[in-house]
Parts: sequence; C-alpha cells; structure tokens
Amino acid sequence: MRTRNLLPALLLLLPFAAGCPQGEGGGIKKIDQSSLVEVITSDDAKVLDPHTTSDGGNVKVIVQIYQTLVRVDPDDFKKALRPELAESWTVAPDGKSITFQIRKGVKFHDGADLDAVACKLSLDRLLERGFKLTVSPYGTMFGDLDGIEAKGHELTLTLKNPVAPVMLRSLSMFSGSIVSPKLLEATKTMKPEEAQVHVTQNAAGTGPFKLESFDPAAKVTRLKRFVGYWEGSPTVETIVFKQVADKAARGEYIKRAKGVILCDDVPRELWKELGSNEDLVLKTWWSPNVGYLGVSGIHEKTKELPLRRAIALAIERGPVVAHYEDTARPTFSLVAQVMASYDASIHCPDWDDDRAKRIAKAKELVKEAGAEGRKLTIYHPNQARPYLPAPSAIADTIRNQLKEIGLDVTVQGKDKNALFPEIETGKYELVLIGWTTDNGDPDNFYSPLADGAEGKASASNVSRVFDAKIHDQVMAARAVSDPQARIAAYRALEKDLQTRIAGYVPLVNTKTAVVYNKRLTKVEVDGVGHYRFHKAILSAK
Amino acid sequence: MLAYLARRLALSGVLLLGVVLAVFLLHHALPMDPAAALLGKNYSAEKAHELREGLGLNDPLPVQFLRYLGALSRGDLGRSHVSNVLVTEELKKALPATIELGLTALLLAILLGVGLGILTSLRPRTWWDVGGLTVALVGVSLPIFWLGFLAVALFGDNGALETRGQALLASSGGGWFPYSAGALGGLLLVSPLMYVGKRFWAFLGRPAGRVLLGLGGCALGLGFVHFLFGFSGLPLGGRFNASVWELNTFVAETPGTTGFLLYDTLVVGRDADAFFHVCSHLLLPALVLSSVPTAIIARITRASMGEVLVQDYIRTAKAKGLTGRAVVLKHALRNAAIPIVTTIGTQLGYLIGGAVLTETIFQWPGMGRYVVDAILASDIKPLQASVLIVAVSFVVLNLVVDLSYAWLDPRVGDARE
Repeated sequence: MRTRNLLPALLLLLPFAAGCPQGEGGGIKKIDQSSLVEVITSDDAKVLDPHTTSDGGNVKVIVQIYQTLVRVDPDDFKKALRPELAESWTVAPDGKSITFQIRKGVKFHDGADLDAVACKLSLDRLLERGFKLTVSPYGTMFGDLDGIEAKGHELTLTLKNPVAPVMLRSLSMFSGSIVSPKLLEATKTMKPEEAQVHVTQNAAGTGPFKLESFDPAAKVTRLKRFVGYWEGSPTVETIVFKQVADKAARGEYIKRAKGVILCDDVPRELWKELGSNEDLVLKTWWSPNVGYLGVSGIHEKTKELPLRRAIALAIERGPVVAHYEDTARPTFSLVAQVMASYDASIHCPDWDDDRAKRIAKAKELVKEAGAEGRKLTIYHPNQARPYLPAPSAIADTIRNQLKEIGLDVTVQGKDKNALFPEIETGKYELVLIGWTTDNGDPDNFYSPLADGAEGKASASNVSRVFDAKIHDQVMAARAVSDPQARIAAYRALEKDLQTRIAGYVPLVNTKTAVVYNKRLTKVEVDGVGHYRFHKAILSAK
Repeated sequence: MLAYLARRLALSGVLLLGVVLAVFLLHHALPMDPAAALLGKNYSAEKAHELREGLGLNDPLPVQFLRYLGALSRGDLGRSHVSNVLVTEELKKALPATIELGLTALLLAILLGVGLGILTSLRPRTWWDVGGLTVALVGVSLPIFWLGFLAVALFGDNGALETRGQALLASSGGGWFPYSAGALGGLLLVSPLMYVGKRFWAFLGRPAGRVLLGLGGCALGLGFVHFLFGFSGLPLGGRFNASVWELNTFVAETPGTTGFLLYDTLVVGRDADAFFHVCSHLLLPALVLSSVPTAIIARITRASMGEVLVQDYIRTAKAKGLTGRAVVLKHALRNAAIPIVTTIGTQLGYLIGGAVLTETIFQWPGMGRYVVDAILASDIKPLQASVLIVAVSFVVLNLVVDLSYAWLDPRVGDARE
C-alpha cells in the first residue's frame, strides 16, 4: 500500500476499533443515565476536607459524603435537633457537658467502624489537638470544647462554659463532620497542606454517597451511592456536580436539560417561569440569611460614630429590594428575619419612616462628624451571593442614596476569594456582604459578625470593632437556657449594637430556591439550604 | 552545524534565565499578599508576619531568587493556596488539555492554511485568489470571542449551554444548528456555479470541486442527521461530558494513559465511541482557535510560494516533465518552507499561551482556564507557574524553529559558522 493511501485506510478502520480487545484498564465506562442526578451549581468544589473549608461550593459535596453527630430538622431548622451519628444525647443540668450515645453498626466508606474514638479524633482535629490544619474557618465556634472522652460508643464532651445548646447547634454544622479515623490517622505525620489534599482526595465519611471521582482541574465531581449506608443504600446511583457559573447560562441549562437535574442557585428572574414548568419542581423558602452593608468602626474614613449612624439612616431598603425580583424583604436586624429573636420594631437610633426626615437628620450627623463631601468606597464581591444576586447594581443603588447626604461614594467590585480574607486586614470602610447561618442559632450571627475573642474582632466582623461589653453580652446570651430569656438577650444585644457600634446596616432577608425534575422525588431540602438524596427516588420517564 | 547548535542552545539558556527572573519579579510586583491569600479567614497581622518569615518572604530579593531557582531545579512550583494541591499536579492535567487543543488547532491551521496558500499562489489574481485572501483577512480580523460565539450559535448543541455568551445566543433564537448546517451545505454545493458557470460538472470532477462537494455533502448530511436522529449540534463544554463518560477515572487508573484524550481513548482504551465523543468536543474549539493561525499561514504560504514559483528551477522541473503535484509539493513547497515553518513554530507558542479566550468560551479545562481561575482567586503560585510555562514554551519552540532552519536549508547553519 502506498504511503499516501495509508491515512484514509486508517481512518476507515477507526470505527472498528470498538471491536478491538479493551486496554488494561478494562475499558472506558459509561454512566448509567437512568440513575443519575446532575447537580447544577454556581460554585465548584476544590476542597473536601470539612474541617478546613467554609466555601459553599465545597460544602454542597461535603454534606453528601460526611455526617455529623446531630443535625438540624429538615422540616424546620428552628425545631429541636435530630440525631444523626449520635443515637441520643444528654445534657448535664449545669449545661457544661454533653454525653452522646454513638450509633452502632455504622461503617465509613473506607471500611472503618464508627465509634466514640472515631468521633473524638475528628473533634480533636477540628480543635487542632494533635493535628495541624491549614485553616480552621469555624474552629472558634468550637472554642468552648474542653475535654473529649471516648469510651466504646459513648462520647462525653465537657465545656468551658455552660453553652451546651449552642455547642449542639455548632456540632450540627458540616464543620463538625466525622471523618474516617483511618484517613485521619494517616494525616498525622503530614504537613497541613498535604493533609488537606489527602483528606480531599480520599474523602471517606459515613454519608449515603461516596467519592467516586474528584478532579477539580477538569471540573469533575462524581459521587456513587454507598451500598453499606446505615439507613439503607440510596436508590440514586450517581450524582454529578456540574458548575455553570454564569447566571444566564445556568437558567438556560435548567430549561434545556435532558436528564434529571437539581439546581441550588436558581436565577431569581426565572422563578416564576420555572415554577410553572410542568417538568420541574421549584421549592422556595425564606432563608435564614441577611444581606447588609458592613461599616468599619476603625477605618480612618468611617471611624466617627455620627457618620456611621448617618449612613444607617440614609439607606432606603425599597430600591435595594427592587433588585431581588420580589424574592426579598427589607430587614432591620443582623439576625435573619426567620429567627425567633428578630424584632421588627428594632431600628437604628433616630429612625423615622418618613425618609425626608431621616435624610435631614443624616445630613446633620454628617456635618457633626465633619465628613461632608468625604470620599468613600463600597466594596462588594464580584460574584453573586444568595443574599446579593446583583452585587454591583445593589452597591450602585446604595451609592446614590449616600450621595444625598453629601458623601462622595464610589463602588468597587473584588473577587470574593480576594475580598473575604482581606476583611480582617481592616482596609475596607464599607463592604456589601451577607451571611447565611449554618446551624440556625442566633449566636451564629452575632458571634462571627459583631463580636470576636481575646480583644480582637473576628474575621467576618466587618466593623472590626471588638467591644468588651458586646462580647460579654454575646457570651451571656449563649449560656441562657430559657428560650424567651434568650430571645430577650439577643434583642437587647441588637439594640446596643445599632446604638453604640453602628458597624452594619441590615438591608434584606431573601428567599432561596432549589429546582429539580418531577421525576426526582423525596429529595430532602432543609431550611439552611442543604439537600440530600439518601431517600430520593428516580422514577422512569 | 554543531557550533550553530551550541550557540542557539546557549542563547536559549540565557533567555530562559531572563524569563525565570521576570516571572520571579512578577510575583513581587503584583498587588497580592501571599500571606493574606494563604491565611484566608485566619488572617491577622501577627500570623501574616510569622508566615512571611516562615516562607522566607522577608529575606533579601537575591536570596529569595536563589531559593526560587533551587525549587525550580527540583521541579517544585509550589502549591495552590485555594486547593493546596501541588501546582505540578494541577499542570499535569491542564497542560495536556491545552496541548491537545493547540496541536489539533495547529494541524487544522497547517492543512487549511498551507492548502489555501498553495491554491491562491497557483492562481494569482483569480477569484480563487480573492476568495482565499478574503478568508485569510476574515480569519485575522475577527476576534476569537466573536468567532467562538458565532460557532457556538451555528454549530453548537444548545441543550448544553454553559457560558453567558452561549446563553445569550440561545435566548435570542438559538438552536440554529440544523439550518446553519443545511445552509452551509447548500452554499458549498452551489458556490462553484458562481465561478465556473457552464463548466460546473467538469469542475466537480476536479480535486477542488470534489473537496467542495464533500464538505457541502457533509454539512447537508448533518442537517439531515438532526431531523432524522435528533442530533442537535456539537457539544460546547469541556473535553468530555462527565455526566456520560467516566473518562477521568479511566485516565487516572489505567496504566499507559497520558492525559491526551484522543490517544488515551483510541490507543489505550481502544474505544471508538469514546474517541468520537472526545473528537466531537474538540472540533469546535480547535476550529475557532485555528482561525488566526490558518489566516497567517495562508498568507505567508502564498507570498513564499509566489516567490519560489517564478524561479528557474521550477521551470526546469516542469520542463523535465514532472507532474504539477510533484513540482508544487516536492520542489516549490520545500523551498518555500522556511518562512512557513517559522510561522508555524511561533503560532504554536501563541496557541499554547493564547488559548485563554477559546478555553473560556468552551469551558476547556486547560492552561487558559487555569490562568483565569488563578487570577480571579489571587492564587499566585499557579499564575507564576503558568506564565513560566508559556514563556518557556515560546523559547523552546523558537529554538526548535531555528534548528529546523538548518535542517531544511543546510546553508543556514554553515553560513553562520
């Protein structure tokens, strides 16, 4: 055969390659489409180590793989906690210790058995006892944990303060996930960054799905059902997480998807259309979140209290809410509106429903602060957040409102990965940001967003103010066991924060939504936005 | 020749050192604080100072540079602060994706560009020439992002939209694939009529006519395939559909795989179905990426061939009775090859370094996407490594091109000696 004829001949033979013997790997597998759910997200996962991450893209995958001792009630997160890996628990009368009975017969994905020692190991790692972590975003929430005793299937936690209810709420968060002891033992000799990668790549929990393939570079995250799951093997076989970052593209993807999908970041402008789609289920609910403008109390440009109070008075929520496509409502406290401690009557000092009067008062305050014509910048994350669907446009609305009181405001977007870590540096005077609670406790708002520890404001506290009296109030409210007394304590705290610190302007509380095919039933979606497929059923077309 | 080789190697070595120094300084010039990035939410001034001390960032620059050189010599490019994964591990996945895309685009550019260049040089000042030059001009002038969106709208599967541009096109009508395929087929089949009139049937019997006939038939065929089987266009996102194929598991777990999916599916996996799936994902981005190099190669080929075809030895070759194909391919093309090879070499560098837009439009998980992600996340080490790799690939490709001169024309090496 002449050389020039070789290529066409090879091309002709190509289709027959399928008939050739398979390579050593046993061929390339195709996924069974009849038992597959595609989860469409705006964020992709990069780290699957529950103790070292706080990123939403990671958490969506983590909650499928790992489980916690207790969990929030999927029907109403404000109700009492439910057992998960702990079958039951008792709190000592003084509120300073909790004893868990750990569930028996539970296996990790790597074959290890669940017992109290396994749970202790995970909590020790969370507290960096015998382990070193790259970062521990929620480590401070477990700072009250003192002694951890493990005996068979009994785990006893002793606390530094009588804060058992808050500690139980913290333990229900993904950061309290129990990781396979086999996996954690192997990381003890590793450097923190190597350990994080090791836990990520070999993720092994007790959850209904185990990690099948994780390749962030190729944007592939695939989970397979865990046949040995203690509640029974799930019927959904495969979950593939697919990032469609752009909002418009995500909307089109949902509408045109050929297989079974679930999307957790549904473009708000499509809610009505998708809600009436006969193939889809749109589930919406008021999220335990708050969108707010953080105002630094230590920054050179906003350090005067009258100026911060003027900013709080000048902002009108109505035009801000207009950016949310009827899926948000004005809010006036840092704690989410769905929480029991929210009080609609609490407003910043000098509040008047008549905006003209507020503006007049705000102008006086600006004058008092000597801040007329002062140049300020509102920083916002470039990426949409659940509480900020259009950060740039919302920031622009606020900019225009602050102009009315004589402030010269500009707007600057920053990548969230750059903006969020830099808040602690104190270099931003105004930050448009928000928060969604992970555990449904009011402490999960005030402690990270308005308090700190050891004389220092916490990382997420945009006001950067650490106030000893506020700190005492936060600590005292944690220890209150009577529900009504606790609500009163947080309301008093809110008033004091708005009067003396004025480090934030609450703006909105939003609805959130998930959408999925009607073929998919019994998906469990809880109030804090986590969804689980362990009981889900996929019906035929 | 050896002296030439040694001189070129030494020069490239100096250039590489310069590149490394520039990349090192880039790290220090950027307004990114590595300590803030690494500490994230755990940032505090004291911790940041401690970390800078631990990382040696408080040392004098020359000391840091020597340490950087030492790490490079060990193949240590650092870790991503977002995932904490070694940059070398991430590059092992991103590089093959970009090289596969770049080489496919280059192959298409060579085939189309050289072909177009030869065709136009053989028929100067004809409709072929005007048509070829117009294609080249359009290829150079149209921005990649526009061409990319156009390709997506015309030939993409609108059921798999993943980027804003794709969504915008879809929401403004979209789903044009069957019509565009049919229209293109019709245009290709009918176009010869415009140029050759009555000699239409005779033209279809000639090679150029057969090419047009084939392409037109294929495009029309695709239109029919859509109506008959519901094939709705080429896929748009990524190297493969991770919801259908477990290709990444196959590559990770099978000995002998390379990360080059065309090779892995065909040679290692021996799975034609998977191979065609990978090809279908590769085709549109490769075509879009090849547009500029195709145009440049076509113009260079035309100019270079134009000079060679009037030479005496070409006339001699024709006088000897050689066929037109032998004269063009064996005598003219080889002598016209030096500028073409230079262009191809530099274009490969651009394809590897400049695929950012194409990779973003088509969600291609290669170097371009890697760089964009690193910039967005202020992830310095991956950014530094990517810049270094692109720069080094330029230096190496230039070296290869220089050495290929000497191979193509021994006078080059001799003359410089």
